Amino acid sequence: MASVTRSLKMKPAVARHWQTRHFFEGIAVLLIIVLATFSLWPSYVGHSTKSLDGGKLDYRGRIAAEKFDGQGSLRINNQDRYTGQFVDGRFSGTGTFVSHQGWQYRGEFKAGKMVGTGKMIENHQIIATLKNGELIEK
Amino acid sequence: MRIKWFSFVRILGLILVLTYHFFKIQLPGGFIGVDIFFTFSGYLITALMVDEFTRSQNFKLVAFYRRRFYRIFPPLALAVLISMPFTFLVSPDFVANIGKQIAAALGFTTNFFEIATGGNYETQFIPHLFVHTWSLAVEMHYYLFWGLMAFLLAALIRHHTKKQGLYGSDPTQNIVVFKSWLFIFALIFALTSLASMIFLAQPLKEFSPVYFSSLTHSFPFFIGSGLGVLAGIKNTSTRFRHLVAHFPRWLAITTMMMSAIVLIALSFVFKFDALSTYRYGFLIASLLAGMMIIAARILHEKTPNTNEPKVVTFLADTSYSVYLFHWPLFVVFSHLFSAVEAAALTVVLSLIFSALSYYVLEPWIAGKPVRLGRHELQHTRHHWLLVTGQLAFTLVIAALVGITGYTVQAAPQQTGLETNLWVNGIYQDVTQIQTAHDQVSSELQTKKALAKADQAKKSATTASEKAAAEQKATAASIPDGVSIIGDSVTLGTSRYLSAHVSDNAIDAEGNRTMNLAYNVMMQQQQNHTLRRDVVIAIGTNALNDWQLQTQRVIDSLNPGHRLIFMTPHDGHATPSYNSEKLAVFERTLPDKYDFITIADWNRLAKQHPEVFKGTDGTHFGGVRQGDILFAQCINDALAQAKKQPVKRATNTTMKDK
Repeated sequence: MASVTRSLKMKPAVARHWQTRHFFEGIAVLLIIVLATFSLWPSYVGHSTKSLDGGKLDYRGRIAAEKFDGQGSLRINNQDRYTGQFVDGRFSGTGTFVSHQGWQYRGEFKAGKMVGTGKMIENHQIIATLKNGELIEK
Repeated sequence: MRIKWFSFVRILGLILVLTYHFFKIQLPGGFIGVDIFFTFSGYLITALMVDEFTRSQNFKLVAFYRRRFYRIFPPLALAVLISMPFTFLVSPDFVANIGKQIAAALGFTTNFFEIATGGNYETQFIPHLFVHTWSLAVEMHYYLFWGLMAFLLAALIRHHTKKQGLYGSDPTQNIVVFKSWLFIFALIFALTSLASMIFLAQPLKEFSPVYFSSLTHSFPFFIGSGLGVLAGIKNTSTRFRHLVAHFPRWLAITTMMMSAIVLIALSFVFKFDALSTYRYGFLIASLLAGMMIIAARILHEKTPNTNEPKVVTFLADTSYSVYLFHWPLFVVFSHLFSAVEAAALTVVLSLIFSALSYYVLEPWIAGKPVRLGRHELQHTRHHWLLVTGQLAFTLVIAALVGITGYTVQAAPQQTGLETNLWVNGIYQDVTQIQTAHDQVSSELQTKKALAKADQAKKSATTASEKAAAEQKATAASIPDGVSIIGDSVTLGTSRYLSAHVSDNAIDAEGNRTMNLAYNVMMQQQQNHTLRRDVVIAIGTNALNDWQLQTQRVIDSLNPGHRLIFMTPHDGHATPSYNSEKLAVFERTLPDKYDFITIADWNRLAKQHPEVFKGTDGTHFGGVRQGDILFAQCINDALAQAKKQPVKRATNTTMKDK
């Protein structure tokens, strides 16, 4: 490795070769810095679309770390639709699930599970109120 | 100046790490091999710093960085490039998001990259191909930092020497000042790093953040640095020379061997997920490595006429590259062959690639003469060989860069496993909302029907009319269709099942025993969501009270239902297993109760071992034939049940014998 250190004292005949070497060293250092920055750069966050399961799940909305995150709308099996908040790819926060059978559910979700109170709506009427996904006895 | 016997330190580190990676269960603590590497690097680098200052009263930072760069980067880049074609042998899951992994490896950020991403569930199954380059990142960060420290120290000493003129211009005094301050810095940084490791590890359950971080895991380097100042390579202290003089050769050999033996022994004891490893495990390993290094350094002075065996020198020379190559190769091979075969193949290929890297590629890139055996390839005599070789190398490297570029570009962003878990999670969440709706609507319907039946009852006059109305009321409270209550076997096939059994509602969960299934059934019965035909597919987790619990299910089921028991199948069960006893018991039930039918999965599964090929023998999840067979079994039983009556309200359900 000593030859590398000694490179600055080279004969003029090989000086040009060493200039090329310095050029490539500079490129390599630059490359390392770019790669280091890229490797730790957070992935895209913002509005986008994403399709899963061969198109059966079709999403339009905010995306972070390659997952649904924030406000968005997910079409399921080309018939049902969930519109609302997502965290880490799952229903999380407030959202509305609209079934192709004509009913819809409005409520809170956490990591995909129904939590808190929610309303089952059919023909513009609230037909039931649910708590943690269970029917509340009237 | 090459210090003999140092090779053994590097080889020990390498063997421990490799064995740990190949046979993690047998050698759970082999990861301390990395700390041996760290301590050794710290020693060597700092000793060379002292030597440079002794020689020139100076420390050239850029030259230092260049030497480190030429030693570390070319083999690393080669390892990344050569690994890529091998990934075509395994599933694309292994190259998921590989672009970022490569960037982290080449950018010396793997340790922070792993802290940010490595905690994912699926990395347990699909390891990152370049996770092992975390240690290079820590090493590089140490070099950047420690080099700068030495440079600043040397510059300060020169500055004050100039100022003070006569008094400060004594070179020997300057060397002592340089060494003393370097030692103090090494001590401070070692203690700071160690303290942060101990302090930050305390509240953790999963230790990878403190394991990977440059702050917490750099103390072995600084322990090595301190020893490097004391014992050195060319420049050593008077105290060390004194020690050498009074240290017998046999004791040096014994100390080296003893430290090695204790390090090996600790590799069998330490565990990656034990707090003690972080509190003092790494410290002990680093101190033992330091002891081994010092003993080797003394032995070097004591054996002026002995040469290191060639094979030992070779292994030590290639150890860094072998470390680079072994992990990606092993990850690939371990998914194709048995662990022993994969380990053997990995070692052989790693040695070949490493020799190529160390003896040919690295000198070539650094602009040094390339040697083949004893012959130095000179520009005049071997001109044709040199040119041909360089051309061939350039072409191979270009091809590998192309393959790597293609792999990165074609790689999926997530592993199939991660996507699969995510997608199934979403479907399950949707099903949950649909089930909640079904519950609500059946509840409302039941209420309506009950109200109607109530009116019919009130208006009924004769006894027969009353009885008919009663029966209608019972029937009204039960929705049509099939309720399937199952365990993990049912869960594994639930998506196929729900599409292939008409009008069904499935409730399946792993680890469900008969008493838990009873709870589910009672809950549904109460909510009026339990459908006409009830399939109980339970029993692989049968407890000792299976008979009692099964009887409870039979007795508590409301009139108006039919009950279908699916006999459990456990691939490993012998007749003494509860699951087998339950199957035998269930087969006797249709003779006693006319509303019970058997879906004999236990018998059917035994007739079709092919659906369990490559599975645990119980869960066939993912095997299409298994899905079909299981659904067929339920459908056949349902068809048979349709011919049977529903449970009656009176006690006449017992057949007369």
